[in-house]
Amino acid sequence: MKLKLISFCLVALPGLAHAQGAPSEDVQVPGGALMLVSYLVLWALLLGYLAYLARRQGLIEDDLEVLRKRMDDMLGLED
Amino acid sequence: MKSSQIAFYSLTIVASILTLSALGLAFFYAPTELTMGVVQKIFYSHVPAAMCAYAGFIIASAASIGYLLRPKPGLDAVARAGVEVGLLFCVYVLISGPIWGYKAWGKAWVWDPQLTATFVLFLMYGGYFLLRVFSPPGERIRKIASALAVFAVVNVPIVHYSVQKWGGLHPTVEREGGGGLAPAMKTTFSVSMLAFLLLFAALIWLSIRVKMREARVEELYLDVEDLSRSRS
Repeated sequence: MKLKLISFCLVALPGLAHAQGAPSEDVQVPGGALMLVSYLVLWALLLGYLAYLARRQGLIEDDLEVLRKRMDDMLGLED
Repeated sequence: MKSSQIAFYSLTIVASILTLSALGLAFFYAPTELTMGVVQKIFYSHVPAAMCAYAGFIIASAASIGYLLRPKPGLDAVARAGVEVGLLFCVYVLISGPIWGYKAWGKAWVWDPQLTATFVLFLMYGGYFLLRVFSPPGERIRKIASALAVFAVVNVPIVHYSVQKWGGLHPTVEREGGGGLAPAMKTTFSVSMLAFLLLFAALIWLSIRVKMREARVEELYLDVEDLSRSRS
């Protein structure tokens, strides 16, 4: 459920950001800072996606463990 | 170690080296653009990310066509991976673009044809992603999602050619009608493009592998259920 909520937020947030409207035309923010923010966002997204895949891989391992236990129970095997 | 594992690790290492090289070139080698200043360096990640988003969505739609014709878990895994990775890069395009535009145009968001078309593309594949995340696994959902992926890909050429067709604020640069790049900028851009494509390949490979395993676990659950029923 937590994973689904995160997925929903990932998709919904850019939409919300655009719904805020455009800022003032009087832009005083230095370009270097904006460029750095842009590259940081890229790394954050890449690392976030790798974390998401790692989490899913972890869930697969949990599922396999559950299946192994069920098989052992069914076949009457013990550790 | 299997040959596929060696290939994956090699790809990851080459992609990492090239990504770091592209960053170094963008920050320390490429000259600062005269009109926009240092913020123009976002170009070296923004455009390759857009290409990766296109690639992800095209792969997803091709796999979805395959799935609609001959349903196989592998094709569904490729489609899901393509959408996820494409969406990742599309989100980055939609974040880096407004950051660049905020400085270059004085506004983070304008309803320019290319921006609008990219946003629609994001919404379409975002819909696919949410459909897959929130729906229980099943053949019916997989087919609906496949059809959505096939329809949504129509938007990719619309995004790409929107500047030439309808104009807008987006610069054309390397595309038809653009002024081109200075040699140092072109080198940086080429390295960056290659780095992003390799990074994309590594991510999609990893994602497909995880999704194939998920599909296999789903099958194993059904097998165990069948076995359980047959024994009781």
